[in-house]
Amino acid sequence: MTREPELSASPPEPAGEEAEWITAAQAGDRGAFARLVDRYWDRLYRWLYHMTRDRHAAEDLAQETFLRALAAVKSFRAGTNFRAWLFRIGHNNFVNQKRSERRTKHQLPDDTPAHDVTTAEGTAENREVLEVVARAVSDLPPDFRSALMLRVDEGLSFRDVAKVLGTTEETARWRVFKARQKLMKVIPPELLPAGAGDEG
Amino acid sequence: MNCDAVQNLILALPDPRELTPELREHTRGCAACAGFARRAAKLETVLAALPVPAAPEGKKADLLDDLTRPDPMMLPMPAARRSGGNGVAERAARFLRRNAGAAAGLAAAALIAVGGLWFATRPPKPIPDELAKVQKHPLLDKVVARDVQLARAASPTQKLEALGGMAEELAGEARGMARLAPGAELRQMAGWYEKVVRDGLVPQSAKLPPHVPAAEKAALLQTIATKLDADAAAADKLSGEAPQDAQPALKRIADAARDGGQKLRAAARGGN
Repeated sequence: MTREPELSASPPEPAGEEAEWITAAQAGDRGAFARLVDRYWDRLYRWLYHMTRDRHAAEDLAQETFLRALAAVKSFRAGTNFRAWLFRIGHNNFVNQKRSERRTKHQLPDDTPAHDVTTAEGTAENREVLEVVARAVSDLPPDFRSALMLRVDEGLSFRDVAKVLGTTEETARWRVFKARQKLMKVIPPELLPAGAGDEG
Repeated sequence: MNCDAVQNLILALPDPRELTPELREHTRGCAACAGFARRAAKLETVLAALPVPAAPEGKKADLLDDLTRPDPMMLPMPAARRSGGNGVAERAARFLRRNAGAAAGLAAAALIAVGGLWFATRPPKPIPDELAKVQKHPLLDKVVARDVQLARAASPTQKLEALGGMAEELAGEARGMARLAPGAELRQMAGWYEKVVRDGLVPQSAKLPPHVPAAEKAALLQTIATKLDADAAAADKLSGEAPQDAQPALKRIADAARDGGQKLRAAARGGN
């Protein structure tokens, strides 16, 4: 079986050129908006995938998010966090989709079988850790999962996590804390050995 | 600080791999909390490394392509099936691909003109299929298909339905373009829409021949009026979300649809 390429988290972005792209996009430069799409698509898609556990749904939501962002880019306030603004639109789309799924009584498909979240290069032990953690993350309540992945995967501050999710900074911090707490409880200690030195 | 409090504080940190001096001090003297801190750090590392499968349909590339293409109206146009042809049909296809917007306008105008002849009693003429075959632009295909449908229509009902379908497709196309196309192209679409509704549907609805039963006439006009109402509502809704330069065109479509719907309903009641 051929394995599809996997996406990894991107490094933080340089701010100066992004501000120029945003200004140009607000003036109607579609090429400048394309550069923003190029910069943020994979990151948004990653987060939406963690939320939906369905790559088709995540891709559709990412596309819808960028189209909405394009329509609304003139309303973006210069000097504020574009990434948080964009993810906020993505979050709203996700919430709307969940609502409509609930209305039509359809469940979001879960296409996160254990083998999909492993890496070809990883050791068997690492693969097992990734599988167990991925499963535990997907079992978290959506509010906790979204806050946790924004903080851990995107590196957003609690303040920006709160902006994306439309809540307070304290609630964002609480959700990340609760998510970590739940994961620490359900993941067997032997999979997160206390001997491993990741501490900074 | 007791161990429960320390462990909760570790999990509440922005990054549990970076302990504060107070927490580090505690973990130095407490094996349980030191182990907990290392597990929390490991969890954080694993979370950041969770792989995600690639998006399946290449929508990022499609969107980037759309955004960087000079003429967004031509986006859905595929390449010609054949290459190197020098025939009339090939050249016509190339011309239409380059000028699909204008060609669709001409086709829409032709549609209205053909609609003006709808109560002529001539039998339907066969339409040369070659003309329709060379069109590759989806909108142009639809317009030409409506043209063909209208010219082949055997009854006033079919002709009015063709005009109604044309209006619906133009409105749908405009909505699809609203977020990506420049305002000028949308204004052009709005102009065609107004033309189809004001110069096609409305006058033709008043010219339904007397032998059409009143109930059939009312039902037909009511159906088309309902579709126009839906066009108006959809354009109104989208104008609230679309870029600013797309909004006037969407409002024009909404106004034309509303106005057309009212007039068709009046005609359905026999008040035209």
